[in-house]
Amino acid sequence: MDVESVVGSTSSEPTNNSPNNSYSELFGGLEAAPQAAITPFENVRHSGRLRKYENVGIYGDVPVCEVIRFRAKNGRHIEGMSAEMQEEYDYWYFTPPSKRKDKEDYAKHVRAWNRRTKWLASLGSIGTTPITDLSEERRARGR
Amino acid sequence: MRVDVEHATDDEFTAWLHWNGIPFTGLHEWSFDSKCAIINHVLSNGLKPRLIGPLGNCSGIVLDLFEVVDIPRKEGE
Repeated sequence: MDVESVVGSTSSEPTNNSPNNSYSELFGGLEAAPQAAITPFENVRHSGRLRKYENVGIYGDVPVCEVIRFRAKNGRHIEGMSAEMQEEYDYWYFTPPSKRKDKEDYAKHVRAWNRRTKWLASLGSIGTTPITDLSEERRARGR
Repeated sequence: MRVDVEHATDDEFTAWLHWNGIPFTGLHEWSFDSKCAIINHVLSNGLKPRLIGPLGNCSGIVLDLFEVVDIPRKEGE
């Protein structure tokens, strides 16, 4: 999914409980489409680990590889990601492994770093730019 | 005001779904993941949702997967 896709023009106060003509006002006077004859999507909150490394999750969650590529390409995490998860991803995938700091997590960190290397290789030079190494930034934050 | 999927508010994204006739049940609150999930659900069912053009810098696959429509501009816009 291209995260830079454009939704469309909206007013500053969109509504979601009006008949079709209100949507047409929001979308340049174009009428709303009739409801598609497909199984409705079930929008429910799920808990637990939902992301897979390289495939879409069972509930449609974006894979970890895309989360990492987005971070590397745009210099930030996707909107809405918790600070805790941002810290997790920054540590495992944007801070090089260190035997001294990782201790018993070193092997795990190396595996994560190898995955990151593979995933970012497709981004070309982005995968080797300083922005993808957050060691200094984490050190400054006392992490 | 133009928004992208990532930064669309819950109301804006829900309005876009309704405008495209995309059926859903449950919450009207959307995380980035659930926005991607419903769009992928729609695309996998062969639908081609509408986006209002002109689009900014985006990959060609967006043009393959979505229908880009132009709206008449009002005088002075």
